[in-house]
Amino acid sequence: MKRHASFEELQDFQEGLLPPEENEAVRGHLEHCSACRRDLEALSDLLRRMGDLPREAEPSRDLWPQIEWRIGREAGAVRGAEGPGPSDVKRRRQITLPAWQLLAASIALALLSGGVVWVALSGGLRDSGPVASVPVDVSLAQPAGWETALDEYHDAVSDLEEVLEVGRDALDPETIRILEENLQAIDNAINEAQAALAQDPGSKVLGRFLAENLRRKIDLLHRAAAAVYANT
Amino acid sequence: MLTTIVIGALSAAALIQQTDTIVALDGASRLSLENFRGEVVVRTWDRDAVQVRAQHPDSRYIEIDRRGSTVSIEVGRNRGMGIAGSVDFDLTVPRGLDLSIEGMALEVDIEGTEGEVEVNTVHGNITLTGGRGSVSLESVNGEIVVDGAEGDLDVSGVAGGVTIRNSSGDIYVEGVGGSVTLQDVTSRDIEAGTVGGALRFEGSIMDGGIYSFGTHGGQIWLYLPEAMNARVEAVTLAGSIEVDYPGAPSEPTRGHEIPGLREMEVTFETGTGSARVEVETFGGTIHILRAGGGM
Repeated sequence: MKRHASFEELQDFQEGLLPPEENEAVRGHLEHCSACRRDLEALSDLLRRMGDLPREAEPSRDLWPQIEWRIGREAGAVRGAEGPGPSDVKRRRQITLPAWQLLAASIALALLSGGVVWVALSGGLRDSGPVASVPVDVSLAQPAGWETALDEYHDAVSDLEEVLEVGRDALDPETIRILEENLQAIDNAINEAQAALAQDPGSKVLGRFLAENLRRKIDLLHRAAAAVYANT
Repeated sequence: MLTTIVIGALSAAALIQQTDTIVALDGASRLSLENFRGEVVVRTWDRDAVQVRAQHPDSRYIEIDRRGSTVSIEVGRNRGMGIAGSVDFDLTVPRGLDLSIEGMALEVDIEGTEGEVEVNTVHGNITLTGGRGSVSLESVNGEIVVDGAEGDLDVSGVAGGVTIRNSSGDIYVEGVGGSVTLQDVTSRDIEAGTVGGALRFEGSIMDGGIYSFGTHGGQIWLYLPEAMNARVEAVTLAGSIEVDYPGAPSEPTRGHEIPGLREMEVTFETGTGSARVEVETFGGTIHILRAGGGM
């Protein structure tokens, strides 16, 4: 397998859920790819902590530099060959990296952390597949590379919205109002960007606007979920 | 060696209790405070110890513990004493001590620190004077003001404004539903964005620096220094661009044709053009002005 393993593949590999052929492909890739081995190690650590119902709603902060470094390496924009150091982790979302890859990284991170909160709240595994309604209309044309990122976005938003729904009573009305107001503002921005992208799928400017606002929604939902966790 | 200190155990005598204790650091490099609700005021001194003063109802107790290199302060609830309770902290710490403060409804005021700072609250304002190394501030419903920080600044506000002034280092700042103001900042790497709020910048544009400003539904005001080596690229979709800067085109040009949207852009270069200033708005106006004209 020449491409890097996705987060889903690594998680399925870790849990022994891949079909034999795919399992061997991932195993063979891991033998030669230190980046994916690091991601697997970070994911394994997070899954172990989920099993122990950790107090924190966020995954290891070490995940983010490794995700960003790997994506940067794929895009040819990484700075060093040896991996990230503290000075290598820079925020360049709007400038050098493909928007959908940045979105995918943010979603993967939020997905894992949302899952941790869900497990802590419900005492069980989260449901697979989207549940809540989402503002992004997948029937609209999207630039190449977006499909996977948007699928993961839908899953992440659904998981985090479920956490909020279950834990809504843990937040005071003012907090709920602020969160809903600003999520709506972000949703409006997402809809505007997506409608424009439907007219011009190749627009990098519009792609950046959409990716940034999708990321903002994930970030805000993540913070809201963390607030729910802190109150329960 | 610090053993766990529990202060403010159940007392029927007083409704409000006072805590005033000094904890030696013994090599600890970080202070962590978790307080659900209340005020947190942090000042600094030259002693290798932390003074903890707290005012709290008898439904709450203060627990101070040592975990590795971290002195941890947490607020506990006495059993059967109800759920309400606000605890106000007054901390005096060594200047170089790293700080981590977390809660749901906190008013945080930190002054004089030269360590790393991390503050995370849902409600409440955050005011930081100082901060070195890594500074990370988040509030969902509150105003954030940073003055005199140096290092990697990561600031995120929702429904409240964010102001960063007299600061230096890499800056990442984001606002949703509130304005973002960067004033007298010195940085080679700035990424600032808002949704539904205005964005204002006045600061240095350093050679080789990268400056990225973006809004969705908000205006951008850039006050750029007259002497800079930079390439400025401004793009707006469904908005407008106004320029009053020496050597820059006074009128934008039509950009990429997008059905139903008007894309306008302005590009100009000054000096060697080594820095990159990128500005984007969706539905907002970009103002590019010469610094000194007042923010």
